Amino acid sequence: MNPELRELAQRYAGALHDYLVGRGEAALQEAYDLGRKALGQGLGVHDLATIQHRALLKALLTARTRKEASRTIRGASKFFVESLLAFEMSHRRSQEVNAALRESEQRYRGLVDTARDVIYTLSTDGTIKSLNPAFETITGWSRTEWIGKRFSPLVHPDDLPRAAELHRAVLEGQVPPKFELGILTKSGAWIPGEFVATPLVQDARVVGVLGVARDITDRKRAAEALRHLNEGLEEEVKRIAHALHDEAGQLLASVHIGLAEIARDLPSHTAQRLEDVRGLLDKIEEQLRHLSHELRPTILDDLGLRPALEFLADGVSRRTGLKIAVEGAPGKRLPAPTETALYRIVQEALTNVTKHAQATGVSIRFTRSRRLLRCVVQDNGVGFDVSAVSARRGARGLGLTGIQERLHAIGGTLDIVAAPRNGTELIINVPVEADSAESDSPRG
Amino acid sequence: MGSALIGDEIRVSIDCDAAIVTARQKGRALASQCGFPSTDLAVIATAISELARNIVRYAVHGEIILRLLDDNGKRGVEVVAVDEGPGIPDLALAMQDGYSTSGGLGLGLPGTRRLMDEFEIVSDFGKGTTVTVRRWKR
Ligand SMILES: Nc1ncnc2c1ncn2[C@@H]1O[C@H](COP(=O)(O)OP(=O)(O)O)[C@@H](O)[C@H]1O
Ligand SMILES: Nc1ncnc2c1ncn2[C@@H]1O[C@H](COP(=O)(O)OP(=O)(O)O)[C@@H](O)[C@H]1O
Ligand SMILES: [Mg+2]
Ligand SMILES: [Mg+2]
Repeated sequence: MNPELRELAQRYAGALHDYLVGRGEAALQEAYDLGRKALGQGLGVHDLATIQHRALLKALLTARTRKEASRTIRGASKFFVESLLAFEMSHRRSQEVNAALRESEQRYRGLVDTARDVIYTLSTDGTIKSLNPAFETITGWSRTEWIGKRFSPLVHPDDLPRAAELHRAVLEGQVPPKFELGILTKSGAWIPGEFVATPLVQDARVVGVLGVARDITDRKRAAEALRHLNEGLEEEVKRIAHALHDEAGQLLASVHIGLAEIARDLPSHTAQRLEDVRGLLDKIEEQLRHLSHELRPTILDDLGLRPALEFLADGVSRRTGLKIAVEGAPGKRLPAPTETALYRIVQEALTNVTKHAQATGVSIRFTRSRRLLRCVVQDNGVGFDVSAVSARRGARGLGLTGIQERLHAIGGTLDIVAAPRNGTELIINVPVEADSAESDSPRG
Repeated sequence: MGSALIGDEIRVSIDCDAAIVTARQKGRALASQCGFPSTDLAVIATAISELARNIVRYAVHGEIILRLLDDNGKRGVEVVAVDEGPGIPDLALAMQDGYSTSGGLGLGLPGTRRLMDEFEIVSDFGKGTTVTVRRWKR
């Protein structure tokens, strides 16, 4: 998204949130204003639909029950209608004046033609009805080679069942979340595409699918590079943790022995002072041990995420007095990169709570459905203005960005629900393999 | 006009953006009383927004008056925007799509005319502007 669109999307999501929590007419007026602004910026209904779609998904993440979710959907569609009215006002013009219709069509065409994403329509049976020029730039195929043909040969065979399922869902009027499919290029290579598909409605009937696809090769590469980097860092941290634990520990032990020997040869009043020093050394040793474990808890490898987090929570609790509850279970063992990422994320989240929140309690809650692991870190502190912090750009801390990047690398998402004086909630969603008969045993 | 006014009229004084929200909210409530579907309520709120916005921007203050109508069993809502601002020197020009003296979208007046079933505008240059719009229940 370009910055203008992103700003609009952010304000839209904020206003939708306001509306859903009961800000009524003022929020609806804001919806209308945003629609007007979009119109003024030359955006189309389609852009607004994308914005609405994202904001709705975000709002749905915080819905706790099915009833709440359907209330959210109903509220959001009322809100959407409000924002579309600006377009409705200008649209009627085209019904009145034919020339204007052509002009506005051309303008829409212009948008489609110059878009950098592929915009396509499919009929109900999966025949490709239209493609914009971006299709040619991205895939190398010419459009005439594909218009009128089925879309299926373009999709990677592994992804076909899902593509078909999604096609059916959209025809039933659903708007599924963004999804990824491998796409065949003319050169025979596959590229990763990120898709948003919506029902194509005519006279109140779904007549096909309207979709937007983006080439995410670069993003995938960046995520991959980042994952390598993180893995490298993890190795380094492991090494330091071991050095702290084993080598520093052993050195300290020999200092102890040396001191004991010296103490024997000293007059007793001086020996007492040495005793004090040894007391301090004990404390250092204890701290080193705890730090090295938190740095890279062997529990994480041996016993898994939950015990490791309990250990971490215990340490933070003792240092800061914060009450920390770990609830729910992450389920069966997850791939090592996922467990590490989640451990680091919760660690950073707890650091933020101690640094910024002035909270008395934090809860770390896991819920796992078949393909999704959700981890919510919630504190009862002072909260913060999320949009103001995200807008800080340069001057912004690395913590939240780091969390986002770690999640990106494992295909997860972060949502922050916070308001000044209302506590902070980080909602982390990570895709996982469907729970299978994988064993609970330690990893080698 | 053969349409009777039902009940009292509602007047909202318009001088700032917060007042626009109030007028929208009252208009929506009034129209929903007489059973307009929710998309129509949004349409009425939009018309109120545009007319009230023009008052704030061009006349500084004025009033939105809301009424329920009954025309031989056909029910409707009337929105009147009145101000004693500078008035509009060339109405034909102001009604054109895209015409704006403030660098705006120039969509308010022509757009409102398209959204609503009836639209009347009276403006005396130097004396003020009155826009009356109606929407009938289908
Ligand atoms: N749990 C929290 N409670 C209150 N404010 C928070 C919390 N987490 C983050 N913040 C706010 O978000 C900002 C950005 O956090 P982060 O990216 O971790 O950077 P840093 O912690 O280095 O400032 C913080 O400066 C703080 O204002
Ligand atoms: N209440 C009013 N008083 C004076 N001038 C007005 C008023 N309403 C509209 N106008 C004039 O008519 C023009 C067109 O109005 P409108 O269609 O709402 O577009 P915009 O507000 O975007 O300029 C305005 O630019 C202004 O010059
Ligand atoms: Mg931080
Ligand atoms: Mg206007």
